[in-house]
Amino acid sequence: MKKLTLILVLTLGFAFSADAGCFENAREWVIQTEGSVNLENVGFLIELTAYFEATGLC
Amino acid sequence: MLVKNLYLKFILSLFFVNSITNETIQAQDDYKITYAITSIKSQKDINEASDRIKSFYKQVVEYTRNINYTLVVNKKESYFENSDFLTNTNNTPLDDILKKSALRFPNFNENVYVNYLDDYIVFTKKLLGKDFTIKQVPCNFNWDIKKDTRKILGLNVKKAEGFYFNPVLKEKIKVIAWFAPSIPLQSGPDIFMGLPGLIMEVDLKGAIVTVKKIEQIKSGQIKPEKTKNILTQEEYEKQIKALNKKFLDE
Repeated sequence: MKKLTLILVLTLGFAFSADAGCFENAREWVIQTEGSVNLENVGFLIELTAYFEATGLC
Repeated sequence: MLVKNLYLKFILSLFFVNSITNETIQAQDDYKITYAITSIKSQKDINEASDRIKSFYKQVVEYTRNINYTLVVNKKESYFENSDFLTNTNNTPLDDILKKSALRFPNFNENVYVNYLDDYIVFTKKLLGKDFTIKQVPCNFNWDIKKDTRKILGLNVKKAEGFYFNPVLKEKIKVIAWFAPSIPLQSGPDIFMGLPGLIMEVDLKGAIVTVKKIEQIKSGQIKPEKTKNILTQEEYEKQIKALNKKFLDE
């Protein structure tokens, strides 16, 4: 449980340190396709943010 | 007397041949069912999205054509998972993110083992980058079989509607299934099962997933259930509740 909490803190911390435009684009995608951000897709949201940031798509 | 002996030998030989035939059939009684995503559903009108999102959506729609799921099943057990292209190590970062985006639509578990004799399932769900493996009784979908029929792969299929509770989303979710009464396997993709015939298509919140191919294969190819770090349904729901409360409800 402690490990999981640490992963969560790190990933969410990453999201908020990422480029705000990238995070917003990724969030728009998740809300567009799935309706809301939730426990099932928040991990994917972080990965998508990282991809947008790495490829300059935001 | 001679005639009686010959008759007895004949009956015994028939019984022997019949036993072998039955064993042969039993040995070949595993099936490999390949499912594919046939349609994806966006929860909001994609035409209202930004151009960047529209463009990404087109790429994801295209990519879903590469995605297959495999169900290996017999009357005793089954194993379901996303198949083939995951083993491709030449994937670019774009392929990787398109794959992950496409897989979000049906939102299936990583893998699902079902034991029909002892009536339990073992499935692995990825949440926040961590795999949770849960052993529990199969979901009760309260299937309502409708009169609607159509054909899939040339087989007559019947419509059924059911509901299940998703503990992560805390939602009761509707599912429509099309099953083939002519294939007497009470199995289907992911956790969907319990109809009097193989589920040939599931119409989910995010996607429609349909059988693409059915093959008879040699027995013994069903992957064993996971036995390490297993959570009970109660333990899983407790962890989900705690995570939801900590990260999303606050």
